[in-house]
Amino acid sequence: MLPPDNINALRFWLNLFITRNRHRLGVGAMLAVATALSGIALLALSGWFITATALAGSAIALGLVYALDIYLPGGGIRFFALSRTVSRYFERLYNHDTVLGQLAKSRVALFSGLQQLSRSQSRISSDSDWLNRLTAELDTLDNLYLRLLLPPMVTLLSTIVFFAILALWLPWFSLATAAGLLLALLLSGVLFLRQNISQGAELAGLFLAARADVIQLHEGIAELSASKSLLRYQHRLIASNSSIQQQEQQLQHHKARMQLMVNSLQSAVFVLLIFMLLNAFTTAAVSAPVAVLFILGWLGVAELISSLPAQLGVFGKTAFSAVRLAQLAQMPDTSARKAQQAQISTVQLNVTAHPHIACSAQQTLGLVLNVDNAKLLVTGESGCGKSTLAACLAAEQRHPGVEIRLNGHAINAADWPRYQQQVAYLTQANSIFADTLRYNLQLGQKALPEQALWQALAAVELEQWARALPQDLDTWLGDWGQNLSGGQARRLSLARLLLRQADLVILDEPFNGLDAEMANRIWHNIQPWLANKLVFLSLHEKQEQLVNINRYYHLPLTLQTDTNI
Amino acid sequence: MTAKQVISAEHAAGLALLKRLQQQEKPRLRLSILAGSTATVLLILSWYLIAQLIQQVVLAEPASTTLPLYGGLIVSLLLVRNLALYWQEQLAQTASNNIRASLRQQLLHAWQAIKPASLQQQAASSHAGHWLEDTDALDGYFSRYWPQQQLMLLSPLLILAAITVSNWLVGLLLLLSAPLIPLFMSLIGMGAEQINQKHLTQRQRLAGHFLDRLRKMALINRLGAAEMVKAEVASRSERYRQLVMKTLRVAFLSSAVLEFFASVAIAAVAIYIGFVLFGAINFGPAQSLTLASGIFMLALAPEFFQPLRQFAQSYHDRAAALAAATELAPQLLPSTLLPTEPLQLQDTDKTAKAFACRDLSVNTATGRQICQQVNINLNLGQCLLVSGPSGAGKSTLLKTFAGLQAPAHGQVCVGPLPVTQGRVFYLAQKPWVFNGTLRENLAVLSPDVDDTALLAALNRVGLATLCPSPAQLDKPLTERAEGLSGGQLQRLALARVLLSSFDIIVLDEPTASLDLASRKQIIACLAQLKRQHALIIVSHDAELTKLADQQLILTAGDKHVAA
Repeated sequence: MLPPDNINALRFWLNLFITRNRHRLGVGAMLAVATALSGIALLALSGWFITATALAGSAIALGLVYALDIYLPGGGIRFFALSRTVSRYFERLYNHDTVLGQLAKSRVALFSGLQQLSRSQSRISSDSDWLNRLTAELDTLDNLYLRLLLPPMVTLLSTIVFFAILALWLPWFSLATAAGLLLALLLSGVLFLRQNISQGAELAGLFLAARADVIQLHEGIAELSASKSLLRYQHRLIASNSSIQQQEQQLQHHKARMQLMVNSLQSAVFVLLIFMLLNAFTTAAVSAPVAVLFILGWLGVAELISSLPAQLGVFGKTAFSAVRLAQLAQMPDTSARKAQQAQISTVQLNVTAHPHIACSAQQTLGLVLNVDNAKLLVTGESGCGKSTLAACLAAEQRHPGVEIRLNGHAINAADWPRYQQQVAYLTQANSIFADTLRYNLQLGQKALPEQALWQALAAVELEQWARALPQDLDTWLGDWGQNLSGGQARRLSLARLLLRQADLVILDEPFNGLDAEMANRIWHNIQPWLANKLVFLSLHEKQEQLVNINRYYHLPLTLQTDTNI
Repeated sequence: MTAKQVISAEHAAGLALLKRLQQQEKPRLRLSILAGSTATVLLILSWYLIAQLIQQVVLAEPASTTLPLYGGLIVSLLLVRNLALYWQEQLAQTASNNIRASLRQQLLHAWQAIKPASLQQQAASSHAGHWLEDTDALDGYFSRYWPQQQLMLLSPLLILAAITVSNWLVGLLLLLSAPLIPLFMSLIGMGAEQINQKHLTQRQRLAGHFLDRLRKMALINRLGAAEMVKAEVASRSERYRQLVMKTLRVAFLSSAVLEFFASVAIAAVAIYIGFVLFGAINFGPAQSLTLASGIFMLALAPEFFQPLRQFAQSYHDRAAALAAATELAPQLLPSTLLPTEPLQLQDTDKTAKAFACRDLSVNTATGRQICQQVNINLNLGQCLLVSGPSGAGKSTLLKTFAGLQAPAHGQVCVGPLPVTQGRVFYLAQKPWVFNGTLRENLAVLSPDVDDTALLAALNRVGLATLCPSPAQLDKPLTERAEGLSGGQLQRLALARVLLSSFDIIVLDEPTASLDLASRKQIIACLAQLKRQHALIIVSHDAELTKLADQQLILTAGDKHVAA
């Protein structure tokens, strides 16, 4: 009926949301049905009431004796008016609570999927635009419950209740109409959803292609503009624009047609009801108030049916997001179990023909860290590839030319995660979590004694700053909190490493944004921590005051000096 | 200006954009509203007939019209009403589609007209966001919010008029309840906002948590904290839910108020009509009330509130559209600058082949002067070398030469044309390579060349080994160009020159960060290109000095030209 991808993805999300939460779905649906039925009952009873009173009134006017309790139905009308309001309120509250609970689950699922993916693709962290879109798509999964599951269920149940009650008076007509109506709705619904899903997917495909084209155009805008090729190049986007427009037009056209079809269907049932009920009245099968009751009651059911196309119209888009996200959330778990590793005494790194390290093009670039050459300094101008080299050593560059040998044995990529547990790696980018200072220092470790945190802060000369913060270690940093300068963020990133156990320390430009004197003091302060560790340090230029360096490389030329400097 | 004023000033631009766009499709949007109002009128008429029919049958009144005629009229009224609703939706959607397509077109125009140097200040992906998602976010505003906003006034007024004609007391009842609804809704809205403000910081922190951690996934892995953060995502989402529910408990009261007034109004109408018909109430317009008018009014009462309910639902469409329009407004050209006709491609004049600057003064983005009153004349076969210390503004000057940035004063000419119309081949420090085949990458500036020409060009830049056969031209090349060295990428980009008719080649540091062998190949390439082209090169490379016929040495503010 639907493409298998979609079925699987929808099943995945519905399983995740519903399996352990059946009662929530049930209660939410019951509240929604109660709201709908209250609305129907309000109009139906009102219709019954005014017809009954009109009959009574004209009978009394003719001088006949006529008994009608007008207070009980009046009370009923007031009751339904109130119950519609109350159940509507709780229905909305309850179902939004359910959806927010789902959001938590889908976030956890997506997070673990992306976490698996991040082991093989560095893009996960670098493409923030992509992440923004993913999170926005995750929010559209709300539709799954609020628009795609709940409304059809409520409509179905209310329709059944309506016709079941009608069947007490007109059993065969009621059964036949209900069956005909539901069958017609089902058939047109399935057809509509199938169209909607393929059109939605096509539109999403057009968006993806257009996105790639826009990005390509803007990355090459200098070349294209200088050569006056921009206009010609834009023709692709002009074409995309019109196909997007056409596709959307078609999608909406189908939706409007579905709406017309559903509206006509409920109008047809309406007219049929009027004539059958009035006919039944003339044959005395129903009383006049009951006939009007069903005629007005139908208005409530018709409103539910009419709202379906608008709700179901989001199916294509939602299904597309559901498939994309389900693929990410279902990434197989490849994480290595934590195992005790032998201490690293020798690391050897060989890099061949890496595109970002120019000097590896002609010959293999090799470096070794061991007890005798424990502290290694690499310098070079920006763009020479030192950061890439550091990332290679940290096993974060998947490239066939990268080889890491530990204690004399080459390790394959599957063992990289385990090796990474023994490495403390400071990248050039400062990452400060939007959270407290304490969190930023000790993430990934069991609670550390406060004393240790202060020591680490002191080593990077942040202690005074931290003491002056409004809630010292519990002050919120980053977005919606305390702002840090570039230099402070740099030192905090370093302090985070100082609290960790590691055999190999990789520091990529650790003193960026700091003046030379402070850099020297901090380098001096962290010596006790660096002792007995292998250290790879990269700087953009050599600083004579740095002590304890055993080996020195300058990129791009692979000159080696085996002297202490 | 305070932060709040800044925000409202930005919103003003967004609002102005929405208004301007809405003007474009005004006829269609108006027709949509007309269709919507027609549907309301038809609804009123059909209920009039249905009520008459019921009264006739139920009270066994003498038939004023025959049953089949009633039936036929009711069916056709409902049919036409459904068609009117269809057209209301279709027209509004088409208007929204046209508006969005035209907005995308306007963005394309803006990208033509705005200097690339300023476009490059934003990431390519954010331009893509503007072109696709932001533009799309306007849909709800034009297809639902705007028509609904007009109908919210029109439809209830029509229904009110119809009801008042049958019974002014019921009309008055509905009229009195209508303004109370927005009043109570806004009171509750204020209450919800207060609760929201109270927890604002905490809520923002919790809402931002997920994206913040996703962005720092690499660091989290590095710290071995993946499992820990996964548990944290669950617990913070749970706390977020609790916090949001606090606000929702109050916010949803506003929809309950709407529901309450609508329900109570219907109940009051029903009870009033019932009591009048029963004969329990005799004052006011009670005499004229019949079963037919009672059913008529009762059936229309819910319709009186319906547009208000729909409008409340489409209100967030406005918020989303306004946010997107605020983003988009600064990306577009002011309406006065919109091109009246599409820009035309112009080929350079083949007879006058030279590059010239007259009285050229160039400033940096911050306004510092890079050079003043420079005059240069460069013929084909000549090379100009621009050098100077880093930060002197070499790249900015080069962008001005290539027409990517406007000079502060003076003129840059390519042949007889100003540089804004003439073609220049510009090679950035990092060559432009995109996801696509080798063929697409090579032929991007000259789509009509054949395979033989492509292979010949590759051969001339010394990349014949990269692509020994035409079939290899379809080899995909990713934007990160794995497997190609920096020098190979430079030469790949240079091959584009050979495939298209350029006279002027502008290169930014073509040999920086290259190994010795690649450097030699590039220099050889350039020497070859120099025979038929005019070269302008920014470089520190002493080897390239040998190619130079003229040299422009930038210092911090001074200039020096040597022949």
